[in-house]
Formats: sequence, C-alpha cells, structure tokens
Amino acid sequence: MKNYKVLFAAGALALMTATGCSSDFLDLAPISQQNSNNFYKTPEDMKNALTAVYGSLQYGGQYYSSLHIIGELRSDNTEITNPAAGADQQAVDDFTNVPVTSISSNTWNAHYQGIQAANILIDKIQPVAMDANLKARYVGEAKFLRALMYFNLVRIYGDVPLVTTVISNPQEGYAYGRESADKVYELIIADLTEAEAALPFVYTGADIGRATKGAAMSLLGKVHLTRRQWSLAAEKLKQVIDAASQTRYQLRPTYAAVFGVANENNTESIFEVQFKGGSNGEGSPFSNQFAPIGSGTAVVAVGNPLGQNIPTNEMFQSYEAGDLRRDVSMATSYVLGGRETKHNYILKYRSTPSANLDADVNWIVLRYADVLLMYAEALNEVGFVADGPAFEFLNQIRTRAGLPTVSSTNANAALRISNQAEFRLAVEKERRSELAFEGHRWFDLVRTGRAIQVLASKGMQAHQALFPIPQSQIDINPALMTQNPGY
Amino acid sequence: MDKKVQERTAIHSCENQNRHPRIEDSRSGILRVFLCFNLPFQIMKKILPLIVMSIKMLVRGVAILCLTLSPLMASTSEAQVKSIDEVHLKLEKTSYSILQLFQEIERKTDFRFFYTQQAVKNAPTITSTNASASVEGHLVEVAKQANLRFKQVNNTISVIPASNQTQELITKEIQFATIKGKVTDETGAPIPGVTILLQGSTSGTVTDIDGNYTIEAAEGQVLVFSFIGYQTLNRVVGTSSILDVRMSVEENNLQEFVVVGYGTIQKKDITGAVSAISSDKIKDQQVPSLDLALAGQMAGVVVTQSTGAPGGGASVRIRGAGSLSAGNEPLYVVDGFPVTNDFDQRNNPLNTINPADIDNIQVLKDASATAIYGSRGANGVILITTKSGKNGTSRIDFNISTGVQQVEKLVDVLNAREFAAYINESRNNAWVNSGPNRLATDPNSARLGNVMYLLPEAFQNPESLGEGTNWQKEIFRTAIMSNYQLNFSGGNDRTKYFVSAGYLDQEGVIINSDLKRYSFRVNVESQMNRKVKVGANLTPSYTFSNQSLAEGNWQGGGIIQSAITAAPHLTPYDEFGNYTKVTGQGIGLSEVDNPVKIAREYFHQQGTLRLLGTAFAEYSILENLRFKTLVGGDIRNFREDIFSNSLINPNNINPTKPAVGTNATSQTRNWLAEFTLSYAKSFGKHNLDAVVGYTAQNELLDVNRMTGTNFPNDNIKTINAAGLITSAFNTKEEWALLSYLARVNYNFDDRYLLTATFRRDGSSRFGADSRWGTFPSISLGWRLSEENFMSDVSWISELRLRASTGLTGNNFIANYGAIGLTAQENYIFGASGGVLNNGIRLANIPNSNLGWETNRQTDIGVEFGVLQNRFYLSADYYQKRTSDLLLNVPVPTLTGYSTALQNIGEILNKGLEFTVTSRNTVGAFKWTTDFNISTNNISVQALGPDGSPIISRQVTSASSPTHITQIGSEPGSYYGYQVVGIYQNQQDLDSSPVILNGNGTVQSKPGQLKFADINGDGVITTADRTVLGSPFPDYTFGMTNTFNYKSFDFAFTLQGVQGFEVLNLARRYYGNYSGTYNVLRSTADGWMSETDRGDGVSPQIDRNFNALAGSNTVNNVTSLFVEDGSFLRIRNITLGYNLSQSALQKLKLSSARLSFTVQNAYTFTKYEGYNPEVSAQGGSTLVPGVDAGGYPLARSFMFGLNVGF
Repeated sequence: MKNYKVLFAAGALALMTATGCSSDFLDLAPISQQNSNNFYKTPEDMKNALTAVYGSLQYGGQYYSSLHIIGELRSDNTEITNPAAGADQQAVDDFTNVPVTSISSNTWNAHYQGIQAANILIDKIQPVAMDANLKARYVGEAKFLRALMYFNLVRIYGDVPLVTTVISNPQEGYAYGRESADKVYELIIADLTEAEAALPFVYTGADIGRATKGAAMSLLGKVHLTRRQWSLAAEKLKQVIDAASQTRYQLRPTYAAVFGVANENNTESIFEVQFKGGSNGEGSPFSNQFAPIGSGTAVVAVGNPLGQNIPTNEMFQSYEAGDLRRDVSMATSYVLGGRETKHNYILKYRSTPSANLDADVNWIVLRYADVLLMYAEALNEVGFVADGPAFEFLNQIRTRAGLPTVSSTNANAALRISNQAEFRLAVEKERRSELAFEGHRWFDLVRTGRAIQVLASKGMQAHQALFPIPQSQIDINPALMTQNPGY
Repeated sequence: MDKKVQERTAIHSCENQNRHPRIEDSRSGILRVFLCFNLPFQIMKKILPLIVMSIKMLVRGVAILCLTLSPLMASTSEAQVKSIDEVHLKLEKTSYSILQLFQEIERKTDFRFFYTQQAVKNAPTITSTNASASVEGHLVEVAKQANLRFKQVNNTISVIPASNQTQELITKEIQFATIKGKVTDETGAPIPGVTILLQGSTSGTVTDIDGNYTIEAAEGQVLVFSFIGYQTLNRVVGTSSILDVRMSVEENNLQEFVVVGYGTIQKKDITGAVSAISSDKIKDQQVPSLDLALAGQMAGVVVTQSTGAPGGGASVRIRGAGSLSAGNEPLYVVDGFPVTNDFDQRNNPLNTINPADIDNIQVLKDASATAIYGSRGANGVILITTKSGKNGTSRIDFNISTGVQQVEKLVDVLNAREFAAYINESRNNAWVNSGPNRLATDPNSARLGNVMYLLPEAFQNPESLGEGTNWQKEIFRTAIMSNYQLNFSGGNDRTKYFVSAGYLDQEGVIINSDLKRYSFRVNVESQMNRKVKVGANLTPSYTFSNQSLAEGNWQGGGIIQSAITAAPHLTPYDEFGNYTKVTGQGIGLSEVDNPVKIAREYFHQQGTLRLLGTAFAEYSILENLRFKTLVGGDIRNFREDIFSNSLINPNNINPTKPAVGTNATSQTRNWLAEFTLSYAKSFGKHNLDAVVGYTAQNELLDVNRMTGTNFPNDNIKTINAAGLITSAFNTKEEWALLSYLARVNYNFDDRYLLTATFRRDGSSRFGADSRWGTFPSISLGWRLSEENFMSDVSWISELRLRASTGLTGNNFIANYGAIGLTAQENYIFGASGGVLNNGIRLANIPNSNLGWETNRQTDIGVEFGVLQNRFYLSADYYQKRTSDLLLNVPVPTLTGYSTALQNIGEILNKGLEFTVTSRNTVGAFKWTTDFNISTNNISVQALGPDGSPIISRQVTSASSPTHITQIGSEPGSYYGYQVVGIYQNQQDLDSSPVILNGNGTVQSKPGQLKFADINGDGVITTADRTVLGSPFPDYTFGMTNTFNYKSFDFAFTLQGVQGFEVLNLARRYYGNYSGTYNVLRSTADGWMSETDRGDGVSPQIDRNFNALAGSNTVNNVTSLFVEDGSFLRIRNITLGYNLSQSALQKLKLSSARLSFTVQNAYTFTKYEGYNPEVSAQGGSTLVPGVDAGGYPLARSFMFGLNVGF
C-alpha cells in the first residue's frame, strides 16, 4: 500500500511541476507573429520598424489615393467625369463633401497610423544598442516622415491633435483634442531641423529612396513658405540650391526625363513614395486610377481603367502655346479598336502594371523644380526685384519647358512681369504647368489665399479651404474633438 | 358468480375504475394543457400563468382523490385463503355424481380439486344429507360414501383413495399466516397506495394512508410490492408475521447521482439549474452528432440546426446569448475533458463523438452549476458521460439502422412557361419606363438603347416551353444513411469495461456530398484494491466527408441558390451530354452557373482523425477522503483538399477558368492535467461533500494551407500539379489555462441545502494585468417536502426551492487579443526600381487590462413532484447580465488604430423555463409526456464609449448593412427599410415621403415600394432604416410523448420555436422584382397599374433595377426580405417493437428491438425557404439569421435493429 502512496505522490508532483504552477505557463507569446514585447530589440528590428513608417506612405489615405484626390481633384486641374469613379470623390470635386465623406476619415486615419508608427520607432529605438550614427539617422528618417505627415494633416484640416508619444492603451486616445496649427508647425519644424542634422545628402544602392538631408531641407523650406515666413523660406531653399554639389540636385535636361518608371529617383527628384508591382502588395494604382473609364486597354494595358483624376479642358488650355510639358503631362484622346475617343487623361503615371492596381510607377513628393519655384516665390515675397534672382529661377524652369523667358521689360506683354503681384501670378501659373498632377495645385491655391478666387466657380465656399474633421472622430470623443467652422 | 371471485375482481376493477380514472383525470387535463400549448402559439405568453395554475390545481385534485380512495381500496382487498371449514355452500341438488359435486364446489368457491381418474372412477353417486354445510361437511359425507380421503393444501383439495380405515377423512394443511407490515420510502415516510401481490396469483392488497397493509400469505410465497416511481420489490414471506418494506425511488429519479463538474451529486441535492438527457432519449434520434439530438429536449437549451450538410454543426445556445464577439457556444466536457469546439457550417468537431456511446448528457445552466468552470462557464456547460460496463453482466450489443433521407420540401419557383412570361413582363416594363410614348407592345426592332429592353428570342412563345427543368430536383436525391454499432460491455465487482466500434455512412441529400465516420471507444475502470481505482477512456475516431459547395451566393457557386435561380427553360445537359452553360438571358452579364455541374465537379474532401482520451487514478487516503489525478489528451488532425476545376466558373460568361486547388492541414493538440481531493461525510444530520482541485490545460493549433493554380488539366487535383502556388502559409497558436477550484455541498437533515463553488482561473489569452480571475457562486435549496409540517401532505413527493447566484466568465476570444501583434508593412528601397524591404508594424494596441467577459447570473427555481414524482415540474427564472463584453470598439484613430479590443458593453438575458414530466398512464399501457418551454428576453444594455450602434453587413449582402446592434434592442437585429406599400399614382407620391435624387428631384415612381419615413422628415433617406426583426425567438418549446404497450413503444418529439424572424437575403436574387433570375412564385405577380395591383405586395417588375436606384430592392435590405420564421417541427417519430421474453429465450438473446424512425418528419411554418433555422454565418451574434441558400435539412426514414447477446 505504501508503494501506491509513493507512486501517487510522485506522479502528482511530477505533473504539477510539469505544468509549472507558475505564470510562465500562462505567459505565451505569439508563435507566428512577433509582438510588442519581443520585437523592437535589435537594430534589424528597428530597421524593419522604420520600413513600416515608410510603408504607411502607401496607404490609401496617404499617397496611394488621398493626396491626389485632395491635391488635384479638389482643384481646377482635374475632375470626375464618370460617377462610377465614386460618389465620395465626386463630392470632393464638387465641394459637396461633408464630415462623413470617406476621404476625410481615410486621410485622417492613415496619417495618424503612420505617425504612430513613427512615434513607436522614435521611442523604442532609444534603449537599443546600435551604432549611434545609424540610430540618429533612423530617428531622423522617422522624424522627416512624421513631419511630412503632420504637414499634410495641418494643411488639410487645420488644427489637429498632436500625438508625439507611443499610445500604449486605447484609453489614452481620449485625452487628445485639437492643437493649434502653430503648435503642430512647431513640431514639424523641430522634427525637420533634427532630420536635416541627422540625414545624409545621398544614399547609394539598397538605401536609395530614403529621406535625405535635402528632402528635410526642402520640406522645411516649403513649411516656412506655407507659414509665410518668407525670409526663413528663402534662406532654407537657398541652402538647398547652394548644396547642389552635395545633393546632386539638378533639373533634368528634358521634362519627360523626370517621369516614368525608367526615371525613378533621378537627380531632380528629392523625395518619392516608392512602389513596385509584382504580386507583393507594393504596386502603385495610378496607371489604372487615371485611365478613363471605358478605355479598355488603350490607356492602361493591364487591369481596369478607373476614370479618376481626369484633367479638365481648362487645364489643357492653361498651358502656354509651345509648352513642351503639356503633352508629357496629359492627353486628350485615346484609340480603342481603331476608333479615336476624345477624353482627357493624365500621362505622367502611365505604365503597364503587372496586374490591376499593381504598377511600378512612383509618386514624386518633392523635386528640384518645386524648390526652384518656391525659392523664386519666397524671394518675390521678401521683396520684388525686377529681373532679380527670382526671375532667374523662374526662367530656368520656363526654358526647360521650351518657353521664352520672362522679364520686367519684355516687349511681349505676356512675358512681362512688372511688379510683385504679377510675379506671384506668374509663379502660380508656372507651378500649375510644371507640377501638374503631382498633388500641389490645391495646396498652392490655399497657401497663397487664391483658392476662393480661382475655385468659387466650381462651388467652393470660403470655409472649404479646410476639410471637415471626420464625423466619426467627433462622435467618438465629442468632449475634445471639434468641427471646422462651416461644416 | 361466486362472491369471492367478485370480490377479487373488485380489487382490480377498483384499480381500473377508481385509480385509473383519477389518472385519466389528470391525463386528460394534461392533455388539454398540451393541446393549449400546441394550438395558438401566439397567445402562449398570455396563458402561461393560467397553464401553470391549472396544472397545480389538477395535481392537487388528483392527489386528494387518491388519498380519499386509498382506505377504500385497502378494505376491499381481503384476499386471503380460508380453510374448508370456514367456507359454506348450499347444494342445490340432493344427489350428485362425485365429479358433478367437485365441479359444483369449484364453481362456487376458490377451491380446486386434484385427483386421478383412477381414484374417482368407481365412486358412487353421492347423496347429500345436509344441503347447507361447510365444504368440509360436504366432503366428510363424500369421504364416507366413496371411501376417499381429502387433503386441503391452501386452495387445492387433493383426493386420495383410502388406504386404511384409520386414516383421517380430511387433512388440512393451512399454511397461511396473516402478514402485516408497513411500506415506507427511504426517508421512512409511509407510502400509501402501494400494490402488494402474491406472486403467481391474483391475490393482493394495497397499503392504506399510513402505508400499512395486511395480507394472508404462506411461508415461502413471494410478495411483490410495486408503486409508480419506485423500484418494484420482491419479498419472500418468512416465519415472521411482520414484513416492513422500504422502497427506493426508481432509477432516473431523485436518488440518482448526476454528473456535475468535478464530481457527482444526488439529484435531490441539486440547488442549481441542471437539465439532463439520457441515452434512452438519444437512442432513436437518427442524427450524426449529439448536439442535434438535444433539439427540443431541454428548457433553456436552444439548438439551431442551420445546415443539413452531412457533418455540419448546430449552434447551441443556453439561456440566450451573452456575447457579441467572444462566442456563445457552451463549453463541452467529455468524460471530464473540456474540449474545444469550433464548429462551422461544414465541420463540427462533435461529429467525432458517436452519439451511441453516450450514456447521458447534463446541461449546466445557472451560475451555481457552471461557476466551477470559471472563465469558460458563461455560456453554460454540456457534460457528456459515455457508457460504461455494468457490474455482473457481460453483453454484446449490435445495432444497425439504415434508411433514406429526402429534402422536406422544394421551394416554389416559376416553371419555364411562367418564367418566360415573367422575364417578358420585366423587360416590357423596363422599356415602357425608360421614356415617354413607349409601349409594351413595341417589337424588339423598336426598342433601342439597352439590351435589357429586348424580349429574349427563346421566350417568344412562353406556352411552348412547358414546365421545363426543376433544377432543385436535379441537385437533390434520395440519400441513404446507415449506422452500425457494436458494443461489448461487462464487468465484475472490481473491473468494468465498455468497448465499442461504430460506422456511420451518410449520404447528403445534395448529390456528391456525404459523411463517413469510424468511431471506437474503450472505457475501462478497475478497483485495483481497497484503496486504488484506475480507469481510462480512449476514443479514436476518423470522419471523412465529401463537401458540396451548397451554401452562399450563386456568384460563388452556391448550389442551392443556383438551383433556385437557374433559368427553368434550360436543361442540365445539352444533346451531347455536356453541361449546359446557364445563361443570363442574353444580356451579357454575370451568369448563374449550372448547379448540377457544380455539384458534380466541385471536389472538396475533409478528413479528421481524432484521439480523445483520459486516464485517471483515484486513491482513498482515508475512508472519506480521496485523491484523484486525471490526465487527458485531445489530438485532432484535420486535412482538407479542395479542387475547383476549370469547368466551374460561376458569375462569368466564360465557360471555363483556370482550376484552383487548395490543400490544408491543421493539428490541434490539447492536454489536460487535473488533481482533485474530495471528501464526503455525514455527521448526524449534517452531510458534507467537498472537493478541491487544481487543473492545467494547454492547446496548440498548427495550421498549414497552400493554394495553387495553373493546373495542366483537371485530372490531377493535388498541389504538386499546380504550376503556380498563389499562397502558402503555416501558423501556430497556443493557449493555456491554470485553475484552482473548490466546491462544498452541505445539507442539514436533507432539508436545507447549500452549494458553494469557487474557481480561480489564469488564462494566457488575457492581459498581464488581468490574467487571473475569480469566479464564486453560492446556491441554497430548501426541501419543503421534508419538513414536518409537510408530512401530512404526503401526495407531494418533492417540493424544493432553490436559488443561486454567481459569476462566470467567457474567454472564447482570439489567443493573443491582449498582446500587441506585429504585421507586415513592407516598402521598396534601392536602385533600379528597388527591392522589397520587410517592414513590421504594430497591428493593434496592446491592452494589458484585457480580461474576460463577466457573467453574473441569478436563478430561482422550484422542483415540484407529486404522487411519488409521477408528475414532476421544474421551473426557473433567471437573469444573466454579461458585462465587460469583449468588443472591438472604435477608438480615436489618432491612436493609430481604428478599433481596439476592450472590455466594454453589457447584455442582459432573462427568462423563464418550465420542464414537466408526467407519467400519464402506467400499467400495461404506459404514456409519458416530457414537456419543456422557455422564454428568453435579450437586450443590449451598453456598448462602446459613445454608445453608438454596431452596424454590420453580412457578407452575402451586396453593399448595404444588414444588421444593427444597438442599446435597448436585441443584438444582431435586422436593419433596413420598412415597406409600407406601393406608390399607386401621382397623388400618392405627392402625399407620401419619397426618395429624392441628388439634385432634389423626386425619384420614386408609381409601382415602386413605399418605405416608412422613420424620422418623419418627409423624405426617405438612409436615416429611415430601422429594426425589422431579430433571430431571437419569443419562446421555444419541446414535447416528447412516449407510449408503451406490451412489446410496442411509440414516441414522437415536437420542437417549436416561436416569434422570430429570418433575414432571407437570398431573396435579393430569387425575390428581387427585376426579372434577372428565376424567382419565388410568390414574388412574380408584380404591380401592373393602379387597377391591376398584382398580389398587392410586390412592386412593379422592372428589368432595369438600376433605374430604381434608392428604391431598388436588389441591394437594400427591406422588410420584404424579413420573414416570420416561427415553426413547429415534428422532430422525431419512433415506433419500436421489443421481442418478448419467451422469444428471446428461444433465440438465445438477451434483448432485441426493431424500430422505425422518422427524423424531421414535418415542419409547420410560413417560412418560404427550406429551413427557418438557417443562419449563413453560423453562430455569429452580429450578423445572425441570414438565409443565403442554406443546405436543407433532410427528412429521414430509418429502420433499426438492436440485438443484445
């Protein structure tokens, strides 16, 4: 009998020990996914985490869709000609969008998703033992991206919540209300300043596509310009131009050589959102999005033509005669089955996708021509100088476009700019043609305060310079979240 | 007739005319009650209290009658044998032949003569000297005259030739004695009305009100004591004249031990709400899995068989639904092993357990019973105990049942002739509505602009098409089902065993679908010595099925929907024997595919190998203290092969597509270790039973899945032939649970009962800060029937009040819900177009506070039995409040996430349950009724932080939401537009709310549906969507009547579910008023004009449904899609025949039974689809009750033969 007792005691003890009796038994980490507890430990982890911040640029609410819907469709550059492209896009085009229109929430959500990814990297990298320069660079890249996303948010919505730390509990989200745009810009400027210090001028090989010092400087110039800090803007943009030997920035010899799959990350390009087709979820949608509905395979050979972002006739006519950029940027008809159909469409992003919505073509966020035109604009605002440096930079752009130069004394009235106000309009027009369909037009018109003048005929009202805060975000935290006036 | 004979007859006629009439009374009363239940269901709720009261009154009446008659019966039962000198009779004649005289005496008394012909051959004629004398007196005369001797032994008088003259003329051996005694029950209370019979005779008596009886019986005779509800006792008469008897309650009654979590308890001591079903009730249910056998059997247990697919699961809801996202299925515990049951429409793990191996099923409903299962007890617990061997008997049982299954009904759709006319009407209307001055009589040549206006060539002459093809008949078949079971069982006082093997072969009613199950079981238990007991249950099984692509939208190839919507003028095969491509009437749009082709060509095989086993060892440390260790494992290997060959191409005008093949395997490995210490002891009137325990359980799930395409042809279906692997992955998941548990059952004097339980659970699924939870419960019981003041009311055999309250949890959420998981977020870097760089982001917010859903349940109940529980009522009221609902609620997206899993929200379920068992008649003809009825009221009390409703879309809906879960309503209510009529004319439009275009013009037209303007703003917008119904029934009931007569038994089970709705989303296709597919006959008679309104309900049929925009019924959910699902189903009818004892002896069998069973015999319902229990998304609480073309239930006719050796 004693044997049994011993056996029992031993058996029970063995089993109990096997199960641990301890919390280790219950502390089960996911087997097939890494998690917040065991990730963010090594330099390699941090590299992956940083890649994810870049990845957020590809979200529908960022450069995949929202920024051309807001930057172009909202403006007088493009329109929706076929309702099949979607009622929400139609509403943005028509200025009938309301707080529940999906563009507002998609854009908001995607930007904060990216910002949270950047916040996580900036926070979690601190204790990681790694090369100090590399760590600083990673932080710099994340801060550049965070600044870019906040810059887009503040331009679209005005005052927005300012989240700069890792949200570790769902309840924390309820503590944030909208911060003044000035506060947001403070962070943007601080982030870009730090990024500028930490980032290299150029990357080579496998790192091409990352944020550079030049990108941080250029974006900071744009931020100052947007905030009407003319001399700060001019100063920063001049730094970019002066650093050309290090940044290797230059205008490409031809306008056509700036765009297309073959010209990605060229010397004129400062920062691009990278895409690559081929069944890995990294492809870009623009080739399909911008092809006219019903165009079959005439405009985009693979996948569906979706009829979004169709250039207006007025856009076509806005080009000066002889402007080489027009036919690089857009077309007015296509031939399908031997029959020509009149229909405008964008050419800049045309490519052959590997599958529907899966093309290689990148989205250029910043390029050198933009910097030159911004610098010209900033100089003009600091003070109009007839045929001064501002004219020089404007003419650089015009020359490449095959257009005659402008001057304060030109005999041809169309090419004569005699005062600051005229120069402003000249820059605005030049930007429209030069940066057509690259997501700048709406922001330019809002920045210069010209939007209501230009777009009133399209139905714009004064309050619509800002987009409505998504209704869902007000509903979920009505105590702290307010709507923009007019909505 | 002799007086004594009359007297004896009187005993029995008293039973027939007095006792039975009392029962008749109650029976007819109960019958009346049941008729009430069966007939007007709608008024049930109102009359429920009335019914309860009438049952009470009836029971009281019966009892009083019984009590008043008992003494009478006792006094009329003087059935004793007398001496021949005590019995007098008067002879009518003066002379008899000796045989005549014997006959005369036999005729007038109970005495019988025993003699040989030799003895009486030469007897002279007897001359009577004294007409009136005792029998003895007459016989003395005979003895003298015929020189015979007589010997009385009891009632037999032997005739003996005189051997010498000194021999006594008469010898009397009256061995009878008066036996007196008292019959009591186990508690010592007297039982009145117990029948006592002398075995082998018709003599007997009945106990009086004090349980006393008197009977004349001889030593060695056997007295048979019988009373309803008690075990019949045989007692041999000894030398004592006092024979007191204590009767015990029959099995399946209060004395019975029932299994509860981690132990057993006597039924009479239960203070919680527990329902039970025994193998008896399961054995004739022709169902492949045990969950289906529970339908209609227990109050508060709602089994919804939403699919008839062989092997498909049923959803089981115990007392409503408490959770929105964490699952509402109960916890299943098989022989002590809590198993994981993740059933779906195609695959049900419970299939692997052969119902024929089950001895009993206990359903734990209230917190008192379930809290011992802690964080898994919130949805109720189903304890399954499998069969074991019986002491002292070795037997072999062989069961075979075989039969056929058929669909119960076909959906009534148009035939070819009607279809052609309907299509023509829809196109004529589209043409007329497309512009002014257009007439239905315009020829095709005049109809321009849109192919939808053209009348199809094939439909020029509808009459010539005749009936056409009924596609439903083409895909359904009469399917065969067979079930074989062989059991070996037996044991002695130390070791018991049960070994079984089963084979189930079920064809599906849809061609090419079937299920096979091979199941085995070994249950052994042995008392090794006085201290140690060991045992093991081992259950290997293999199930294999051919699945059909039955369910879902036709776009995905759903066979059912395709068969209903396919054009009836076409045939399955063309003249060359090839599959016909079913066309969309020539408008070049998406096409319903040929359902016969899909059924025949779609290849989907599933196989599950499962090994479930437990082993235990128990050691008696002291007499009352036992330590038990149980270890178990549940290993499931699942394999699946799917091949959608090139011929299957639904929703496409092309006849073929590239074949796609999928191969998936998953392995689930679950182990359990359990240690319990139990103690039971009585101290005087204090009875104590306690258990404490520690358990640990862990499960690992390992899933592989591979999908490939570019197969060279359709012949090789394995993935090796795929030219391109489109996806391949392997994932593993794990969970673990550690628990401490304790329970005390205490009762004082069998009157005051207390049960307290406690469990502490730690679960890996929850956040580090809320990993451990405590789940206590307490319940009290009071057996009023044991109180002294109740002793006078002995007709009440059981009256027990009970109340319980406690906490349970629900941890059925994703394994890593509390942890911040990472997900891929890649990007491209690098020269020359770049390469993919792996990016990893955090996919959800970690929530270290995430815990279980908490369920606080309170229950009060009463158990009431009369006449030794011949009539037994159990009633419960419960309230179940589930809080801290695990919800993926929206959070401010500035967090970087749009939703987060949180403990938020509250749902309240409350309801009433009644269970009645009534043995209506006993004796030769036995009739038993089991009835249960329950109500459950469910409402959402709180949701996310802003309380905003959860609006959900069931995936088969086009784009509009289908369900809403909002505070104050039932979760998963149907959500859409309420149809209030049809716009008849312009005036009607002007005076009614209408739908406006974007530019403010009125879009509604006469002939279109008119919706209710819920917000009263004068226009119909999405804000006018409202709740249209819900899948939660007002009440459910079940009734089983069992009849036994001699060797025959007959039983039928009814299942009723009343007051719920079905969202028939498939009507989007077969009831869409737009002439795109074949439709229900009831939706084909559309509005034509103000004067010809068709059926008055259907709008105008118009092929161009896009022209209807906001009003169109195709893409919006309207009240026309919502149907009353209430039904009454004859779930089971069984007729059985048991071979008589004599026949069995001849055949050397111990038992044999023949049976004929009809399962799902008939469903009374107004629902137009196949099965009102449908739910396209199984057990989902957010999108329940959707019919998207579900696999219909089969009606089966089965013959069964059970033989025991």
